[in-house]
Formats: sequence, structure tokens, C-alpha cells
Amino acid sequence: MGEMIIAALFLLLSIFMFINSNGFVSNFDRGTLGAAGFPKLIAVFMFFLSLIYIIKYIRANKKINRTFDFKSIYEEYKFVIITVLLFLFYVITMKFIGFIISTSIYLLASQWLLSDRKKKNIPIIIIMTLFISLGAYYFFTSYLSVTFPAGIFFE
Amino acid sequence: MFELFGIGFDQILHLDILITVFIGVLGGVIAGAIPGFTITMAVVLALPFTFGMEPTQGVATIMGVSIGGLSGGLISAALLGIPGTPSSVATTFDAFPMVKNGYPGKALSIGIWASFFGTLISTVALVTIAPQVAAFAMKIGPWEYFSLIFFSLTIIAGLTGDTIEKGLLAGLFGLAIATVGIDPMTGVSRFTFGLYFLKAGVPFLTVLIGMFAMSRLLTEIESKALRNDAISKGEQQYDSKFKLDIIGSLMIVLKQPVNLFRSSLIGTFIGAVPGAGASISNILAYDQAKKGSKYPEKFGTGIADGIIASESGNNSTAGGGLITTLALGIPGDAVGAVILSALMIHGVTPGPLLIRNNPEIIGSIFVSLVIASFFMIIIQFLGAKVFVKIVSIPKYVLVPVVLALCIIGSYVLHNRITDLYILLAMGIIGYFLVKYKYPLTPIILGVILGPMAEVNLRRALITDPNPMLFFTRPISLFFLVIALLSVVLSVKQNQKKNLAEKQNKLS
Repeated sequence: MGEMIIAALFLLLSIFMFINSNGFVSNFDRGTLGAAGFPKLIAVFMFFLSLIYIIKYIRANKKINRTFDFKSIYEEYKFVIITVLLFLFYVITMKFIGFIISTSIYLLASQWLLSDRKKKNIPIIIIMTLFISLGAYYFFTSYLSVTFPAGIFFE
Repeated sequence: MFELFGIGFDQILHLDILITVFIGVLGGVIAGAIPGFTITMAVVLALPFTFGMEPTQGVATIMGVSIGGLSGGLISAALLGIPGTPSSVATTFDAFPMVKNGYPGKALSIGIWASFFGTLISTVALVTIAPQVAAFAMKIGPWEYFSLIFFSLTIIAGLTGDTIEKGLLAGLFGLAIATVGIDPMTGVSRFTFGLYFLKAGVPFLTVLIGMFAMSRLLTEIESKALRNDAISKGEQQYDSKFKLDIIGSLMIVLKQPVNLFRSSLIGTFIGAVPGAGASISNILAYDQAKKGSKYPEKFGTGIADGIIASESGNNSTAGGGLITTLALGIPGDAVGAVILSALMIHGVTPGPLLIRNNPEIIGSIFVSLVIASFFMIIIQFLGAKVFVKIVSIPKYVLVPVVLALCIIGSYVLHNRITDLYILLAMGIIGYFLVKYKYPLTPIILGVILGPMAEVNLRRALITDPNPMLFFTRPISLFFLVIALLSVVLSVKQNQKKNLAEKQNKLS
């Protein structure tokens, strides 16, 4: 089912690309293919390929009765969901509380949540957290003069 | 051609460069040894650390990581029977039985030497072939270049997807991502939706990190994967008191020149074909070694031949992949794409002119391959016992740490937090695509080859508006015909596969 949903999304994307490309006009278009030509070409190929795929898929899987059980899906993918949410939280907070603190919180929280309740190796978790957040900060700021968000505490 | 080596040695033989190459190889070996940590991930994550270096140093370090990664998979494949990377799947066939028979030191040593010679042989092939390919590429026009890229994308789609439609759709998606941003020829903004940060386009490296590192990590922490991980870790038992047999195993490897050369040449060739990488070459080399052997029935019981074939086969893809990456600017696989972007970040444009304009870069790549393989031997022989322990690093530490490195790496590239949202989006898209068996390699190559394809296509049409030239110029026609053939072949192959599956179900 997922395969077909992705193909359907590609189909929508191709239609969107084709229509949106009409807006790409420039006075510099000298050739027969302007700024819109290549995206339209991609869109046309994508449209037909995804259509072919969808038709083939429906023909091959006429009868599918799948029941959705949200609880078992959540059980299977809970760590994926947790990780994505933590990632989002990390990126959003980085601007406010700064790189070092947000990285440390993120690393602590995700290692904590991903590990088994009984088998947590707390020293490793703490060492890795400090090593990555401080090590990366030190390396990139001193050798590459990257500026990380400092956050409200260090301004 | 060999004067390039002279220039290369001159560039590379500095203590600071040697140190970073050494660290690169070390990091690569460790990353390669950890199951779930692929070579592509290692190379991608090493890239940000090289931003501040000189181009030759940066590129040499990346080469070190990739050589280390290719041979690192050996450790977990031999001792634990789990391939550390997909490139060492065939290594488990014979190395693991040999370890079980009580010769862990021998199995590892043979693998290490085979990796070493595989790299060297493919480097020689690279040095001889790449300049010829570049000289040929100099003579072709935008028509041929466009058709060549078209061919590369179709063959990648055919080789990597479980059906050709999925592969092609993935490639087109990559091309579509590449069109976001300012049009290179007219300056018109495309698909930016008024967002300022999209004007520069979707950064290639962010796509790469998202698709190849982040999506992979998300797959690793599905409950099923975690359960399997716990089970296989529970079964891990190996004798850590083994002795490596350096000289004896060198003799064993050298006594099989035919196997060594055949496997290395297979690896080099597979590396040069767009889309097929080390994950295919090790299995193919193993298969050919078995077919060419006088005693095929012994394969799989723990004989040296199998280890030699697989390990020289996967390491030699490094040199082969560089042929097209350096001479044409068309990477053979995701690792090639990273090397290509490493070159571009350091201000070097890959392609046919590279050998003439930047001989020092080419020379240092050649030399760094050789030096990295020497470092690899030293590191492997000294550290194999330690690396085995690192392999058992728990997933709950590995995944968050590597994910943090992904985030830092994407941020460092442009110092933009907005890139991190792109990273997240790419990671999630990549995760779902992998889940439903859409291949990721065509996407990456689509993103990297898209601008090249478009510029050549439009240049061709500006030079002469007649589109028929793509079909009447012989070399261009040749590429288009083999592109079509590759599509037809993979459709046929799929039908065969489906038929076989149906018959299996019926019987």
C-alpha cells in the first residue's frame, strides 16, 4: 500500500511541478528550452511513470483487506517517532538555549529513552553526551571558525 | 601518467596530511566494523571535518575514510558473522566458518591482505584508465554528455530498484530536487515559494546526510531491528585470544594471483559502472571465484579463496568508482557522490578538465589511495582486537550520537538552522522511500547530475535548436540506445522474477 501512496505523491508532485513551471519566465531565454523546460520534462516523465506504476499495482493487488491496528504500529515505530520528535525539539530549541545545552539535552534524552529500562549504561551515556557536544563545539569553532547559536545564557 | 604519482607524493608526504589520512582510515575502519554504520555514512560524516583543510588534504582524508570503511566490514563479518557493511556480505560466507573452525587470526589476516592488494590493483587500473576516459570526454559535445548522464541515470535505476519504475521515479525525484533554487542559466527562481533560503537550492550534502545517514538510523531503531540486534548480540561469542598471522597469510594470498586479480578487476569494473558499488562487487567476485575454482564444493566451509575474492572485490571498487567520478564528473555510487561533493566544496570542479587543470589533486588522490591502504594494514593488524569490542556498542548510544553528528555536519556546511529542517524532511522522506523499497542511490545521483544534465541539454539546444541531433550524433545515439537497452533488460528481468514468484506460490 505504501508503495502506491508514494507513487501517488509522485504523481501529484509531477502535476504541481508542471503547472508551477509556467511561472518561470525570463528575458534571457535564448534557446528553445527556457528555465521551465527541464522541470517540465522531468514532470512529464514522472507523471507517466507514476501512473504506470499505480495502474500496475492496482491490477496486481485487487483484493487487499488490511486492518490497521494503531497500537501495534505505535509499538513497532515508537522509537522512530520519539527520535523524530526529539530531533525537532533539538533544532527548535537550539536557537534559544544555544548549541551546547540543546545538544547535551538531546543526546541525554534520546539515549535515555532509546535504551532498555534495565540495561542503561549511564557512564557511557554521560561520557558520549559530553564528548560530542563539547568536542564538536570545540573542533568546529576553533578549526573552522563556525559560529554555533550561543543561546540566551551565553550572550 | 606516472608523473601524476610524482606530483601526488610531493603533495601528500607532509606530516600533517599523513596524520589526517591516518585518522581518516582509523575512523573508516571503526565505522565499517559497526553493523548499521555504512561506508557512505562514514564518508558523509567525515566531510564536515575536512572543510577547513586544503583541497589535497581534505580529499586525501576522505579517501582514507573510504578505504578504511571498505576493509572495516571484514572484522565483524569474520568474527561475528554479521556484515559490518553491505560490502562485506560475501566475506561472512567463508571468513566466519574459518573463525568457527578455530582460525580467527588467519581469517582476519587473509582478509586484510586481500583488501590491501585489491586497493592497489584498482589504483593501478584507475591511474591507467582515468586519463584515457578524460581525454575521450574532452572530445564530446553537450549532446553526448547529456546522453551519457541520461544513460547513467537509467542504468542506476535499473540496478538499484526492485522494479525499474521505482528506480526511475527515484532518479526523477532527485532531478526534481536539483531544480529547486536559482536557474543556473537565466537566474529565474524555481520552486522557491518565496522562501529566501531555498534560493541557493537544496544543499546536496544535506540531502545526502538526510537520505543516507538519517533514514538509515531511523530504520535501525524500529522495534524489530532492535530486537534482532539484541538477539544477535546475545549470540556473539568469539575467542578474543587469537593471534594474527601476518607473514603466513600474506603467502596464502599471494599464492592465489588469479583469484586476486580476477576479483580486483571485477571490483574495479563494477565500481566504474554507475549505480553498482561494493555491495554488489563482493558477491559477484565471490561467485566468480567459486565458479572458476577447482574445488567449488569447498566454498562456504571456511577456505581462503572466498575471503580473498570478497575482500579484494569490495576494496577494488574504490579505484574503479573514481574512474568515472574524476574523469567524467559522474559518480558511480553514493561514496563517489560524496567524493565529488568533497571536491566541489574545496573549489575543484570534477570532469574531463580536472586532470589537466589540477594534476596535483588527481596525483594526491592516487597517492592517498596507496598510502591509505598501507595505513589500513597497520591499523587492522594492530587494532583488530580492539575494534571487535567497539562493534558491540549499543544502538541506543550509536544512533543518537551519529544523529547528532548528522545535525552538526549539516549545520556546519552553511551555518544555517533552516538546513536542519531540510535535513529532517530528507531523513523522513528517505525513511519512507526505503521502507517501501524505492532505492535512494538514484535520488542522490539525480540531485548531483541534475544541474549537469540540464546545462548540457540547454547548451546543446542553444548551439543548435534541432533536437534530432541527440539521435543522429553517433556517440550520443550509442548512449541513448544502451540506456534504452538497460531499461528493457531490467523490465524483462523483473517479469522473469515475478513469474518465478508466482510459480513458487502455486507450487
